[in-house]
Amino acid sequence: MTSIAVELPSVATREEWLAARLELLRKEKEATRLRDALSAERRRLPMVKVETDYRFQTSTGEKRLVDLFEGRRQLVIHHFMWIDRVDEGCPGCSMLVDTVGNLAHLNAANTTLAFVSRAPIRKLEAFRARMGWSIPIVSSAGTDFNYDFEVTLDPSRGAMRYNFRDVSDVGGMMASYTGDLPGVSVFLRDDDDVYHTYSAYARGTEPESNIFGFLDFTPLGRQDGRDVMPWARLHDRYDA
Amino acid sequence: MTTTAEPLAHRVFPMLPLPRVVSPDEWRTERLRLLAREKELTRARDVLNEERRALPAVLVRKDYAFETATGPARLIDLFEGRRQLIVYHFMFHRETGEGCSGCSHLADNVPHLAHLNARDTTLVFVSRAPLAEIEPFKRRMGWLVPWHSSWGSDFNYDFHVTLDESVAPLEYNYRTGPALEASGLPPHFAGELHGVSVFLRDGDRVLHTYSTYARGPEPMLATYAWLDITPFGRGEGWDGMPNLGIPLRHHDRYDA
Repeated sequence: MTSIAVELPSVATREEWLAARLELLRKEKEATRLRDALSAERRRLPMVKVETDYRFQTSTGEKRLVDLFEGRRQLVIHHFMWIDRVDEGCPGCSMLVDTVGNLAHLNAANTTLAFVSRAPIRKLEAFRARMGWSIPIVSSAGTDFNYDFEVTLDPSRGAMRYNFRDVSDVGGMMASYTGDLPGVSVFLRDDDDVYHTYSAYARGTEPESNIFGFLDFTPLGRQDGRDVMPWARLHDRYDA
Repeated sequence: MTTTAEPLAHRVFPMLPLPRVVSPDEWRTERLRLLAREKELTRARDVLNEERRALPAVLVRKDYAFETATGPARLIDLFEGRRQLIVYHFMFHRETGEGCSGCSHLADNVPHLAHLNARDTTLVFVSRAPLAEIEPFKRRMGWLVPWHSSWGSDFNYDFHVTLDESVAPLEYNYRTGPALEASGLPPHFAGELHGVSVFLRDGDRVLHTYSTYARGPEPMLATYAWLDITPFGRGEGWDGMPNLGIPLRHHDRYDA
């Protein structure tokens, strides 16, 4: 475990603490209301019909996008990043899979959660077995899925766009990056028709990783300084 | 006539209004407008997190006694040697022998603990019920997070998650008196409520840094974060979201 030198909070009386806490509570409630307002705006977004017939590889054979709904009306896909250099799943995405608990509540809300990755199903299955995950990871290998939803950058596969921007406009490392990037996409099913309702990228995917939700309540916080998650490791690598 | 019972999750909701269908370009324009607002919220969250880390702390002077699966313990023992302790105040209903369904939903959202532990942080549940009553329910639900009993101690009253005016004046979510009643809590309420309290260990000293109640713990609920990005939302019928008619249940009770 990396021990981080931290400044401890100042010790106060209960009254002093309470005054500070109440001031923060007021702002927390504002943020809750803003979150509700944005969720309401999100529900009012229009949607786009998915015309491409994507074919995914799964542990139980080939599936279409509509099959991934498993009969439910809504499908949330986390685009699981594969790191070619080390030939394993991305630690941040793996941490997200580690937050998946009992899906009964999500499913009761007519919603299926799926992870989709560009790696071949054989590699995904081996990695899943190593990590002990019960939720499947579906392979989009050989399809345009990752490129169409702008989570894999490859100049030979079309427009280089991430988080709704051309990467040439973003500049820096992004301008020459090739490979996967984090994202989430949401789909709605109307009989056999599938519609794309929402995608988010970069820090837009943070609320789903409730590791942050827990750590954000603590005095040491995420302990990541200016970088996002430099500490995230695969859960079997913390003691390495 | 025979009917086939359809699994709850597969029920069709024909009356749900669907979003309008547009071209990719139109969608993108609307999505970009929302993105700007989403970035505002991300920044607001960052500022709140900074302010939370800057809160002062209060020294815990009382020596609370807990009952754990490995025997009696003090508050400092619950840290398991780590620097930070997050206590989820889990409402346990002794009359039914079950935890509350909302708290159980949270328990179903607890991540693999390796990531929290690697950040020097221990997560535990604490309930004001004898451990012998908690453990069968924990086994039934298949949860792994440590779950301790504060039965017989002042812990729940001091952190305002058990209310009983014969013990202490009623307070919840930092509200008392008329403000508390205005929040919808019945007058003279007695019983369990939920919350999160965070503690920091400095050598042998324990500091209380933070507590949150009511909707405060929501960022821990990944289920809601996933649903909040869908067109039906949480399906709970408020704030313009459709009502899917499925109140929160224990995870083994949805198909009942």
